[in-house]
Amino acid sequence: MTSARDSFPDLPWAEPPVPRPEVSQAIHTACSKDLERGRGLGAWQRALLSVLASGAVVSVMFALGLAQSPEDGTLRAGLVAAAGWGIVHAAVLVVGLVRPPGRRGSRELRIAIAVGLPLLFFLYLTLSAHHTLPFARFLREDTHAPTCGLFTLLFGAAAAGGTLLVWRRTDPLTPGLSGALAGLCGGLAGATGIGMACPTHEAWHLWLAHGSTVLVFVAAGWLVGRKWLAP
Amino acid sequence: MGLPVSRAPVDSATLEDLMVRYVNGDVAAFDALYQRAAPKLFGYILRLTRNRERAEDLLQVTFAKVHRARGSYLTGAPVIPWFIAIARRSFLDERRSAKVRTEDLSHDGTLPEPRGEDADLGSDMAEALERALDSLPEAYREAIVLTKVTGLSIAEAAEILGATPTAVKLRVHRGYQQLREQLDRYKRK
Repeated sequence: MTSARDSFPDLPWAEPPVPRPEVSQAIHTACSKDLERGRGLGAWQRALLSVLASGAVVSVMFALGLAQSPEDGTLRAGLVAAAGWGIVHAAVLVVGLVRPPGRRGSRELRIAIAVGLPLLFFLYLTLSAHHTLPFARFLREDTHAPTCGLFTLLFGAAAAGGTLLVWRRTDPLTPGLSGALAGLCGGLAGATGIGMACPTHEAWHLWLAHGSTVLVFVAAGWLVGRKWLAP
Repeated sequence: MGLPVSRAPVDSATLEDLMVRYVNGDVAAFDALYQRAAPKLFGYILRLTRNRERAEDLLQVTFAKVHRARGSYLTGAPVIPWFIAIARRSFLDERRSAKVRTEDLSHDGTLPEPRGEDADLGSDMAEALERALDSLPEAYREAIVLTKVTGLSIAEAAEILGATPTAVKLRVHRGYQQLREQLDRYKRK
């Protein structure tokens, strides 16, 4: 990392001041309390818990999907989707959250992931749609979309909430961005899971009831992360 | 389930090692960490608040938050940026909730808080430098304080300020130019 000192001659800055002894003593007293209770989880343990939280959501949806249509095709498609989701989820965690704050990937890369992955997910939904109804007809005929969207939100909230809780207070530097990535993980888990349980393959349904919730969770994660992930 | 602990003596241990030992319950490691981190942190907070009492309060708030969140410290995270980010957020929260704003120069061109009370500046030049720094726009001032005074890298300062490294470099460069112009004027006087 480049230091500003490399490119500018130094000016006669004053020596750093010190706080009064009574202030230092008060801090020492406060920070010496309950020291044995301080130990928390390491980054990889948190990552594992995040995967378990989101994995539980995907598994429940997968089981629901299998119960609805227990054919071979459902099982195969579900397993492929689950594997794809697992790889993406792990990659987001490793690049975005596992490395300690200050040593994570660049801000631009993490923003690109938070914005780019939902767009890629929309592309995936578009490619996996079997047909596209005119929008007015979709509104008239697809009475199933609000229920589907609600389930995606509920399951996504469980996964995103779990992920945000697991990474609570870990990032004073970029809590909003880390929260957005945690929201992305949860949102993708909810949307992938509903894809396994929902039999609809109409494009508007996939975009609105499944895909748009990912964007909702990225935005919500950014807002919640600023409060929860900052110490 | 503890973090890996370095057994180096506290004098030669890095701040990150000391932080891990503090998280694992070593009070001597906290004292060493405090001795080494507090002056930089306090200097930064003092320049944010421009008031010694508020700076001392904020220092206590910052360490209280560090203590509460120490279990969430991820091994390897650079400690000073971690502390400074917590201090900065606490300052901004306090300023937002209390609607307290940092004071600008008053009508006669002097700072509301007497400088002599804030720090032992050592020389007229250092005092002139502090005054020049105070007169800079907040964005420039903060970028300079983080990099030139506190000693963070451009990348670390960029993380704390939520800006790109290029933007921080530019702020430091422009702020530094203004500082030099003001100091040149001071020298000519």
